[in-house]
Amino acid sequence: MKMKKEEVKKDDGRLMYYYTFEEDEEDKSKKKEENK
Amino acid sequence: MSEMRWNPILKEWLITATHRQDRTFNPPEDYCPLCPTEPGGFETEVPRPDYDLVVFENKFPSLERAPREPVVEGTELTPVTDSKGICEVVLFTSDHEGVMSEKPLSRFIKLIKVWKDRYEDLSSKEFIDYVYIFENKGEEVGVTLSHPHGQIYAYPDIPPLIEKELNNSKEHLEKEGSCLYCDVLKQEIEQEESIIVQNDSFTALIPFFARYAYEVNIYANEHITSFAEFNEKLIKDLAGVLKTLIKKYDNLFGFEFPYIMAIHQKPAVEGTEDYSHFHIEFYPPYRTKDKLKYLAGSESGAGAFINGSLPEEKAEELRNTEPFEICEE
Repeated sequence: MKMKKEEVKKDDGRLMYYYTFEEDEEDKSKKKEENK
Repeated sequence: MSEMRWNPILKEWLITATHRQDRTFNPPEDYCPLCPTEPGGFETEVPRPDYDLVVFENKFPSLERAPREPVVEGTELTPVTDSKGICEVVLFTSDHEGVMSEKPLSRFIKLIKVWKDRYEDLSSKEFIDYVYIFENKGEEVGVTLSHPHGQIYAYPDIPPLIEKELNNSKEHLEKEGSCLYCDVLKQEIEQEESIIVQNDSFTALIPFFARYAYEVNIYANEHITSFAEFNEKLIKDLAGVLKTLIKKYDNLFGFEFPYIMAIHQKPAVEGTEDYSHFHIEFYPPYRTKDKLKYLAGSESGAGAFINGSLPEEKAEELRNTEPFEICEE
C-alpha cells in the first residue's frame, strides 16, 4: 500500500495530516491470486 | 498555562498544563469531536465527511510548538522553562464504534505506516529529543474520548523512564558488549514459558520481571532501533503480532481490554543506536476479570511494584486464548 499525506493548517493554526492509501501492483496481484 | 518545573530531588522535569482541565470529557456519542464532520452537523476536529487515518495537533497540549512564557519564575534550585514540544492525536479509524481487534490487518498496516511517518517527521525537528507514541485505551486508564485513537508526545528532552532504560542499556552494552534487550529476549526465548506469539520479526511475551499481571512486551527480534528502519516486511509482521495480541486481550475476559500501550524506540539524539531497541510495552489495569491493579503505597510512594501473579502463568493464559495463530488478515 502506498501512503499519501496531505498537510492542512486548521483555522486556529494547528497542523493536521490526512493520510490516504492506494493499493500498489503487489496488493492488486495478491488480491487477484486470492480471488482465483 | 503550561510550563516545565525542575524537580531537583528526582532530577526530572514536571510539566504543568492547567488548561487541560477544560478538555472534552466523555461527550455524548453524537458530539464526538474525533468523528468526521457530517454535512450540516457541528464541526468536529476533522472538518471532512470521512477520513481514513488522521493526525492533528492536540487542542489541549501539554507541550506546545510555540509555548507561552512560564507564569512563574524559577530559582537556581528549581528552574522553570517553557514547555516546548509537540502533542499530536492519531485517529485510527473514522468508525466511532470501531473495535480494533475486529479490523482487518490492513488497518494495522496503515496505522504503523502513519506512526513511522510521524516518528520520522517529528524526530527531524531540532527542538525534539524524543518521540513517544502511545495509546490510552479504556475508561479504566482515564480515557475521556472513546473514539479509537492514540497520541504522540514529542519531548524537548528524553523523559525519565526512557532515560533510565537507556542508561541501563548503555551500561550493559559497555560491560557485556551486547544489547540489553537482545539479551533479555534471547533468555526469554530459551526459557519459552513467557512467549505468547512470535513471527519472523517480532516476539510478544510477558517478561520475567513484569509489573502488571498481563503486561506484554513486543520486542523486535533483530536489533532494530526505531520505525525509521521499518521496511514493508517489518510493518506487516508487527501488524500481525499487534492484531493477534489485541484479539487475545479482548477474548481473555470477553470484553474490550483496556491498556496503556507505550512504544519505546531510539531518541532523536545521535549516538544512541547501539543501545536503543525497538519495543512496545502494554500495561493493562486488570489483574483478574473483575479486579483492577492500583498503583498504591508501594508503587506510588516507593516506586516498588508488586505483582500479585506469576508472569509465566499469565503468559500461559494468553497463549491459550484465541487466536492461536498470528492473524494474517
